[in-house]
Amino acid sequence: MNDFFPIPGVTLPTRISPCPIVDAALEIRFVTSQSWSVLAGLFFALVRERYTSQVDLPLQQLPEEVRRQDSSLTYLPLVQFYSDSFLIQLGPRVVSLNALPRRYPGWTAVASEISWLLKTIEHGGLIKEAERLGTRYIDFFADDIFPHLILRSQIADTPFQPRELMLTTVLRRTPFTARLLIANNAVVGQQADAKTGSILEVDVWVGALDFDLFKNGRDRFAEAHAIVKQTFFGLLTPEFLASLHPEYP
Amino acid sequence: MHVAGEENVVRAMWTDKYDGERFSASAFKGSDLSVSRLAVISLDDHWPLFRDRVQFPAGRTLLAFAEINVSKLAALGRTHAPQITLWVDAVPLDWNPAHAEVRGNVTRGLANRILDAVEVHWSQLR
Amino acid sequence: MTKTLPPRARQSAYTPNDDLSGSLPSSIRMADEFHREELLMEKLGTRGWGRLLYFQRCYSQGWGENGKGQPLSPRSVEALFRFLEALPTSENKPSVFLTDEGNVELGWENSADAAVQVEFTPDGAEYFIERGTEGTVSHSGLAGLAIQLAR
Repeated sequence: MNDFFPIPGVTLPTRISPCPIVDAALEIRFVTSQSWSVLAGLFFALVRERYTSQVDLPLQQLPEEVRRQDSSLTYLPLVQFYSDSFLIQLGPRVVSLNALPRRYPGWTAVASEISWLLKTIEHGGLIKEAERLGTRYIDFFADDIFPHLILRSQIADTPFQPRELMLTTVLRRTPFTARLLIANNAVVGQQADAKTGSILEVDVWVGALDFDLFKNGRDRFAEAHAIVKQTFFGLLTPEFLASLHPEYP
Repeated sequence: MHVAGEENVVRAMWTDKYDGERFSASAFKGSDLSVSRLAVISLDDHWPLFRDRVQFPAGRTLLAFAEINVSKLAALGRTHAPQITLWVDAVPLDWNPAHAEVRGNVTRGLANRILDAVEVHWSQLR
Repeated sequence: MTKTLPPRARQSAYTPNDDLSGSLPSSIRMADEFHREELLMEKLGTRGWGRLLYFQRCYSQGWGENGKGQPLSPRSVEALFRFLEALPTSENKPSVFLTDEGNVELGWENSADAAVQVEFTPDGAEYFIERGTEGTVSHSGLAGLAIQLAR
């Protein structure tokens, strides 16, 4: 498929303030020869030195046969493991490294942790084959984000700026695919912590034939992160970016 | 323990190896293929034994048994180019005392010749 | 009164407003997914399409005799799609199988009525032509192999 990535290249800051990242996840989808009950136990044994607490998710209560039949459940996690800085989510076909909510530690720390996790998984021999490698970042803004983007929507020649707008598109930079989702009326957090505003989500991934998890997985995550970052900063107007107090290397 | 040349063995054929039109040669490809000895358990008794044990996942159905003589199997290997030495070892399992394994690495070309040589016994339930 | 919610998977850190969050009707699918299904239907027919879907959905770890069957290989499935893109459409639809190693295998007869088989592996494909040759190709050779085997 042809490349389609019409976002202009910009000089990328190393930091902005306040940090709008509410979720950052590095995800691996895989197949394994282990049954779920064995996999979860072996995995916890591998990571328990750093990830000391475990939380079972409600989906785990569903019988395995039911989960297997419903394709929408295939890649959902069933258990979470927490360390002081990160969260790992594990399911029968997926493992992801997440930054703790609203505590993004910076790419250097994320890259170091995913490197450790890949080595740990390889050492444990739990993954038979990887299916997809992806990096997903979600940014939150209290205001309507659309006026601050160089991406515009219009009807005929008139700007289209509804109070509720969600826009999704797919971009391609071989071998990566990126899904961009922007919405100006979303809720982040739960209960008393819930806030309404705009989100900008970028999910970048490669398919099974375009990476070798234990040979170039770390590099592929870094490349995917670079595309996420370029997509995000490339979409902001210069004025809005300046208001985020960018720091450059 | 080697299985005697005069014995016949069967290979179970499941949904994943037969689509209603063709058999997959991969059913006979590779090493240490699982087969079962008719000298230990009769063909009639193989049907309930296999259905009860290995119809997993849901929808995977036992469709047939493919039968071949052990000497004939070895001869197919011997006459194949390049020659492949085949024999059958008895490897009894708890659930199937007739279980045995074909020793030697069967290539796809040889697997096709074996598939042509087997006698297929179809399930009455398919 | 405080309401305690069960722990949530961090599949998403946000929820779109109710009016924005309606999902696609079941009759609408994204183009990539539709294209792949159309390709399977065109090249393998409904039976082949159904069998691949069944293998993808149901053949996870531990299937088969003695539980030794390997889960369906994602790389094998991707290799299959690359092959099918280049394979000319024929009335004679290939059969679809799953090997014990977790690979997808196709089998059909060519115009000379010789059996043709291709097993898609994580590294490429193994092929066999009755009364002819057998060999292997890497992923980059799959399109060429499809054209060669279609003759």
